[in-house]
This record gives sequence, C-alpha cells and structure tokens, in this order.
Amino acid sequence: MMTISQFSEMTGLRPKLLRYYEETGLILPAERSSNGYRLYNESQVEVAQLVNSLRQAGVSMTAIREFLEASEERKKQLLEEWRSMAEAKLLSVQVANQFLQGFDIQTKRMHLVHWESQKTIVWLTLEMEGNLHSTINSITKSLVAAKKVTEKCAYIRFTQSENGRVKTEVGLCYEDLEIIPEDAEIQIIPQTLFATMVFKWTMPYSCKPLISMINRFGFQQVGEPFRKVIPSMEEYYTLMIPVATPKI
Amino acid sequence: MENQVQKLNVKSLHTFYLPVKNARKSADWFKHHFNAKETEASDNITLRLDEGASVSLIESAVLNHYESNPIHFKCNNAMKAYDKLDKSDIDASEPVNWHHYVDFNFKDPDGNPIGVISDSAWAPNPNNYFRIDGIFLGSVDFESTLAWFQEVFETDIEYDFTVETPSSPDARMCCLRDYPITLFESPKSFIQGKCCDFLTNNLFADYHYLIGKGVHVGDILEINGIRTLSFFDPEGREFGLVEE
Repeated sequence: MMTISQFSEMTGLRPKLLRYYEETGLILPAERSSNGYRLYNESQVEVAQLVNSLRQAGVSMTAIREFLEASEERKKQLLEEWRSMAEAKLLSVQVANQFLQGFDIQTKRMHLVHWESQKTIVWLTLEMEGNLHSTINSITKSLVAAKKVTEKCAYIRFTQSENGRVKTEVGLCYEDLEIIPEDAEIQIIPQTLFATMVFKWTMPYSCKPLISMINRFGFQQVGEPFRKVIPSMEEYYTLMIPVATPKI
Repeated sequence: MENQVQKLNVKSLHTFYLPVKNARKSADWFKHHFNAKETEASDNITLRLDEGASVSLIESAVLNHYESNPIHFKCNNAMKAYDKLDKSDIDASEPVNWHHYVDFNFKDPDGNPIGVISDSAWAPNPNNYFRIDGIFLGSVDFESTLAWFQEVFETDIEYDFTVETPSSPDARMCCLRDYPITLFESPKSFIQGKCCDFLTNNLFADYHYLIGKGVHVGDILEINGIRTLSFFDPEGREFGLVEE
C-alpha cells in the first residue's frame, strides 16, 4: 500500500489532483490508515493514469466514471464516440485555422456556420412558376404561419434528374415528419461546418467571388452546397458549402 | 431626409459602348449567334437582349483592350448555350459548371471578350440569352480608382476577390454595393471613347452632386429627347448618365 505522496510519485499526479479525483468519486483510496491517511494499492496506479489521460483528452468526469464501471462492449462504444468527437473538434480547429489564415480586413461576406447537431431536411420537388425566390418565400411563409416547420427559412438545391433536366428542390425542417408529402426526400445532415456567402439573386457575376474565396481559404468541399432563403430577406440568399463533417 | 447620405441616383447600366472595326458586320454576327435585337435607340448600331443594358457598336480603327469580360450575357442555361454555339465561327472557352452556376467566355469578331453566365435559380426567359447587367472595368491605377469610385458613388465593396487575367493570376476584383460596377486590376487595360452610360432617375440632382464631389463633368445635353451628361474618372475614362 502507498501513501498519497508515494502514489503521487508513482502516477505523476499531484496530491491536490488526487484529492479532487477522490471528491468526485473517480479514484477512491483503497483504504484509510488508522490515523486517517489515504492508502492506495498498486493496481490503482494504472487507473489513475488512465483517468488523467482521458481528462487531458477532454472526456468529461461523468463519461470517465461510466467508462470505469462499464462492460468491455460499452467501453468500446464509448471510445468510438470519443474518437468521433475528437475528430469533429480537430476538423473544426483545422477549418478555423484555415479561415483565420485566409481572412484579412478585405474579406467580405465569407463566414463560417456550424450546425452543432444533426438536422433533418425534407426536400420537395418544386414545380416552378415564375420567380423562384418569390415561390419559395410564399411556401415558407405559409408553413411558418401554420407552425408546420421548425425554422423560419427554407433551403434550395438543384439536382440533375435522370432525363438530364435540372430539378429544383426546396428543403424544410418539418415539425412532424408524419405529415410530409409522400414524394418528399428526407435528408439527415450530420454535424457540419459550412463556409457561407450571401449573394443577391440577380448578381451579374455568377459565382466567381465564391470560387475565388474557397480557393483562397483552401477549403475542401465535403458535400453538395445548397442555398438558404429567409422570407424577410427577399433580395438575398446564403450559399452554404459544407467544408467539414465528423467521420462516422 | 436630412440625415440621408446623398448618393447618385444610378439605377442600372443603360448602354455599353463596344468599339468594333465593322459595326454592321458585328451587329449581324451578334444577331445571328445570340438572338440580339437591333434597336433604334441611337445613331450607332445598338443591340439588346430582352432585358437590361444595350450594346452600342462604335466603328473605330482603334479597339479597346479588355483583360477580362467587360459585360456578361445572362442566360437560362449556359451549358445549352455553349452546346449550340457554332464553334467554327465563335472562339469560346470551355464552360465551368459549379453546382449549376455555369459560365463561359467568347470573343466577338474583333477579339472583344464577353461572358455568358447562368444560374438555375433565375426565372426562365423565353430566349436563352436574355439580359445584360453590370459592367466590369479594368483599371490601370486600381487602388486609387477604386477609392475614387467608393468616394464618388458613396458606396463600399460588396465582394472582394481575385480572378485570373493575362496580367496576373490573382488580379483583385471588387464589386461595388448597390451599383452595377465591378472594378479589377488591369495594368494593360485600354479604353478609348465612352465606356458606358448608367441610367439615372434624376439627372439634375446627379449633375450637381458630381460637381460637388469635384468630378470632371460635362454639360447636360438633350439628344433625341433624352437628357444626358458625361463625367470622367481619374483614369480619364468617360461615363454617361442618362435620364429617359
């Protein structure tokens, strides 16, 4: 058996930290001596170092506690979850670094938007009659008024149909997936970081500013872009380009 | 009203002036390949698509030198437009299709470059080529000219990016907010004669505004019932304001 000082030397963890781990129930002394001193056994050295390593890796105390008490199968699941979270954080930091490296005081309109949790978008094929953004705005307004959607905006994407024609689809976040039209396509978008840029519908310069910005920042596109439309901003839309998602 | 910043009443690009060696031959070429219509707007041969600005062909032995497209034809579907081009008569670049934003360039018989762009979000028009919008000005003294335009037009930069030109792989290009004007670095740009006209809804106010800004402004003239004036940028390029 070791005293806390000896245990501290073996594990490399300060006595203050060991006392904190005791308070939080993560590493409890194996026993107390007759004079109340904490005593640890050799098998606790590995556990203490593991706990500290996981803390350094950003794992929460609650999650570590669960891990220590879990079955082998559950430990594997937890590790996979933590790996995904770490990869997501790494991607976010990489993209943040790219953004800051490419950003200067002249940068206009290129922003980063993070969807921190997955989002379900219901895509509906649009039969175009006249002006696209007016059509989208009226659809969105009516659904928002009827409280059928969770967001006061819509998304637009263009896809190539089998006969080579370009299909226009509007995406909405429905409150209740039971009421969506039969021919709708449901897309679950995972946690994603987007590079975004606001454009006027009538801009005379195509997407050159955007392509130029993406190249300058060195972003890698990881999926199909789509446009976000807000009914109250009739002249503009936001182009959203996915540049980072965690690996599944 | 007292706190509003006075600005030019420019609404849109009215006419783009394109020097060509043979105006009749060029007009027939544009009409044949791009379904452009001839108008009776002026003494020069002037062409239009369905909407937007006109292109006035100015016969001249000396042509302008553009390092990038000064104007673009908007169309419903630039990929289809490219496929239908008579490549034996038109020098056109390969289209770039970036998620249904499509663009390519072509050269007219005098080598003037013009862009063609499409966006699947635009409302379909009966004619594939349907509109000419803003002007892209190559500037020799880019920084000072950009500052001048921002000051005179009381605006700022909406988009600031780079494009490849013959002079530079990263020529800076700036789109001005609220005006159909984009400036880009172009040390070899050469524009002679009038560059373009902008449409205004208050020529007299704009005349006094420009005078107040210290801009070199010509007299207000009335030609064929249309009031117009000319003003000049620091590079000596002539622009017009037109009130119909």
